[in-house]
Amino acid sequence: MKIIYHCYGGAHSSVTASAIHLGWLPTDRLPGKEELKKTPYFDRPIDGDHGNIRFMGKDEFGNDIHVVGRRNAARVFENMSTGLVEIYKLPAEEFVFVDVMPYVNWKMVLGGFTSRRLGWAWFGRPVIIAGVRYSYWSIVSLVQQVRVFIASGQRGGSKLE
Amino acid sequence: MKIFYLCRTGHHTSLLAAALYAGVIDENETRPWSRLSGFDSINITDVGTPYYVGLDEENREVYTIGVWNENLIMSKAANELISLMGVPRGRWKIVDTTSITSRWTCLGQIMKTWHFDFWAKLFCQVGARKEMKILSSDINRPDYNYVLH
Repeated sequence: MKIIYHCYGGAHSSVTASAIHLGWLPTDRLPGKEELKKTPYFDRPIDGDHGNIRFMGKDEFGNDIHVVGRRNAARVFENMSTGLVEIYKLPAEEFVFVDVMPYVNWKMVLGGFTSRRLGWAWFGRPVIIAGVRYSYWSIVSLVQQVRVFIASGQRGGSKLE
Repeated sequence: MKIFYLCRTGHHTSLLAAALYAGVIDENETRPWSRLSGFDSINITDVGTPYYVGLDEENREVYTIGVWNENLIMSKAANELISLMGVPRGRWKIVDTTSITSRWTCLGQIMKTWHFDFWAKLFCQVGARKEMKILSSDINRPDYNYVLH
């Protein structure tokens, strides 16, 4: 199974969600600044990376975890992706698309814009980290839902948010 | 082999290009919308869902996909997603037609979102005529392609 976490830039919320899913970030406490900074791809991708589906790792059940930045086209991305899965006659449960955007707060937007778009990482990164820590439990909860969804073997829709 | 044509909605420029390529409409067609089921029939929430147009002369399936203004990102994502599905390289083709979308078509699409259906239809038809001129002059070129991703 392939699980694709998607958000605006594929740099913060989806990376955080995938890192939680892969067990790289804790689920029993808030991660420290250094832990977040050390997360692969965290606050690294740039505009040119939008649309690239990046492989993050395999979870303990052998599912492939990916992240992608799709700007503001969440619905278009999900419609296209589920449509392509149907066209290629793959089982619907093989791909799960998870929108992490609802958990993005204004600090992450401001930090993401200044760090990634303007290149002011010295200013943006601490703001993003504060934003991620603020929404952290919501993202953990989303990842838990995904894990339950997968474990229960549900199919149909294969879209979570 | 499957061919995916992209445009803003998947039911305007890309549909004309795909239909022309698949032989559903003729290049001299003056009112292509009258022979094309699906032309201008969009539901905003469905943009992105692939739309089947037909088979080309080599029995390759031809589809359209709407991507709004995110043609570059969505073509990249589509390419990577199809690769992730295990489809061998070269077994699909993505043709981006957004660069030839007429301003009239864009205006029609805006009118449609505002529910000015009469004007939306009219502008999309004017746009389709202009796009058909470009498409029918290009279709016979051996290197016919707009932006191939």
